[in-house]
Amino acid sequence: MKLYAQQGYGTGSGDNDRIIAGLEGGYIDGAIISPKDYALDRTMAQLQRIEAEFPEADRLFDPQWYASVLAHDPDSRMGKLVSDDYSYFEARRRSQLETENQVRADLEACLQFQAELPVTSVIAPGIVIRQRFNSVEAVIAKNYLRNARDVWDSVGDGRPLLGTLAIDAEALQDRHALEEFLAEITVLDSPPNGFYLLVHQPTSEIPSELIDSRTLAGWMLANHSLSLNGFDVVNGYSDLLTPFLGAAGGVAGATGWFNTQKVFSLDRFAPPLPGGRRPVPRYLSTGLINSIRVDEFQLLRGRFPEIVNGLATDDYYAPEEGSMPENQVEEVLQTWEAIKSLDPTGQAEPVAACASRVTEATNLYERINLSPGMRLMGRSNGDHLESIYLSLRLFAELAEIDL
Amino acid sequence: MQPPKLSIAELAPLFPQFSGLQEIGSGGFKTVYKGIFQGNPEVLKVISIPAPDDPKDNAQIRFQEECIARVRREVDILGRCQSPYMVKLASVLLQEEVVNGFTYSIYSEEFLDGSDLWKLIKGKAPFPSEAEAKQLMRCLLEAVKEIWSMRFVHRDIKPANVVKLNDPARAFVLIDLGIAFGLLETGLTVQGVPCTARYLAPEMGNPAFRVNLDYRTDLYTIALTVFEYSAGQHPIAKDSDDPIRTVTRALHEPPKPLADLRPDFSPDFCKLIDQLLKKKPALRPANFAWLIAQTNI
Repeated sequence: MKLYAQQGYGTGSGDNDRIIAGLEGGYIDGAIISPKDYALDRTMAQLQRIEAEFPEADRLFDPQWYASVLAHDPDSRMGKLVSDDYSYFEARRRSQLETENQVRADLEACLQFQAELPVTSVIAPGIVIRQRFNSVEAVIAKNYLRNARDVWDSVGDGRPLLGTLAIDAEALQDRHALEEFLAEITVLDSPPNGFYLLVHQPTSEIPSELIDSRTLAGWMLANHSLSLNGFDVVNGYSDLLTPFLGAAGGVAGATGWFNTQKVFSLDRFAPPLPGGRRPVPRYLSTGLINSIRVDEFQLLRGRFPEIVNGLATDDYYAPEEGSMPENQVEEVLQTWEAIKSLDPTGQAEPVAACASRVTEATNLYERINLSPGMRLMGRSNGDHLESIYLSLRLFAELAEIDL
Repeated sequence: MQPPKLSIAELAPLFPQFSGLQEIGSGGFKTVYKGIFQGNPEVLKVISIPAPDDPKDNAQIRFQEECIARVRREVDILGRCQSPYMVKLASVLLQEEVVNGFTYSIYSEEFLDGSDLWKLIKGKAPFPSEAEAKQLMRCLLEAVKEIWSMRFVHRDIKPANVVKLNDPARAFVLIDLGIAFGLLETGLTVQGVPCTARYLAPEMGNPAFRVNLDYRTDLYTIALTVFEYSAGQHPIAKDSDDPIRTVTRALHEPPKPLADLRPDFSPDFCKLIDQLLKKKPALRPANFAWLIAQTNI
């Protein structure tokens, strides 16, 4: 399974360009560029540089069209999306999108724009299905999917087309509605080559349980069903869940350096809350299938060497330096390498392999928690493992496979 | 009221151009006769159209009209099909005849000189090779692809509706469009659902199945047919079960893996058949081009 950089605010430049560093290290397989925080000249320069220096890498551009329905709000934060740079982007009211002509016009503008970019695949615009699968939003989202191929064939070239499929986490929990929705989109008459699959959460905060088990099971089912039907599924903002989505059939996942690049939420287009602090650096332990604070890592690594990944980027977390990486570039490289190393897709039974790994992580947490003074708290604790394990069980049931 | 079967003596005067008429099969409301027309064998299909017991009963009248419409639809679809893997219409165009006060819809199809797969399975014919199983699958996929191009779903693909021919260009041919006749097969159908219980796609058990029905229902029954022909047994149903039990199994019981019964088949082919037998349509691969490519030998 491939892993992409989910580009966003704070990409860095020169030696501190996180994407270039990730590609140089072989920790990522490509990048998904987002325009909100990146002017067009930087977008173009970045894509051209990747093309020149890493010709094998995948280059995608997320048009972030799903934000168009929020752009009428004067308090929204659309960033560079509403500059002259990204001419395809316009505010839309939902009622406007109920007409097919508008949908096709939006597709045409957005795909024509992308046709000029040195991307390896284009991403058709779409909106978030924030309600249920039988909502007006779902009908609009399907209309974008139904028309994307035809429009791209008329304005584009032979590059693969991905349709945006952005679904609210809660909607994914309705298994019957999800199954019907998947049954419908897997037999579109003129489908795209694949899907850019996003799962919308109410906020970009990462809870200790990581994700609701029903949501992850539904997300995995979508990957499974779409991949069975020959579609490439690129999961945006999938972060630590990437390996599980790969086990279900996804071809790629993506994550970045800030929470807003690890979790897909429209709240990033809302005004920022005051009082934000620079987060404490974290270390993603494959043994725990979780990231823990560097002070926790420093405390635990001697007594529980299993939490150390044994990967090249461990060098950035030297014990003599308090396991503190020098900068955020090193932190994200460590995250990418750790997630890549969890890839189960080479296994004969990838879902079962994931379940075994979760069981091992649960056992490791238990041993840590039994040690005096060693209990991991908050986001570092093992709450997420039960949720993931339940997800795997539920997914196996939904996908009719043995676990 | 179900009209009685036509005897040869009653049928022959209606089709004087045919010689050597003989009944070769019947089921439900349908009787099939073989005859010779201009030196070539053909099959006359005679469908007994149920007559209302009460001529003022609108429901019964509607049912009669629906039966006639279903026959017309089947013949219309067959007439438009170009696939060599679908049975062809022959010299007698669809006509309605009244005999002894009863209505019959009659038309003719080409005579297929072969045995249906059900007879071969029950006759303990040698198990097919993987190459033959793939050939069967390819023929059925091509047929369903064409039917779906007209936005129809067969809904009654089963071994009894597939004839094996001794012709490499038409190794297997699909007969009988279930969409037209399933409802009429009183002994085999499930309360208003036009399909055969033993070959019921799970989604047909949903009362709202018409809303989302598509050709993946046929992909499921293709896989059932290939499985049963390959392994000599049904992956889910048991011969001793009553129809209710059969339907319950179809809805809830996982199928046997084909590899358990045909370990000599390639794992990829077994996996494909198993995947097409998933209960949820969205879990069945549905890309025709890809599916047909998997049947390459």
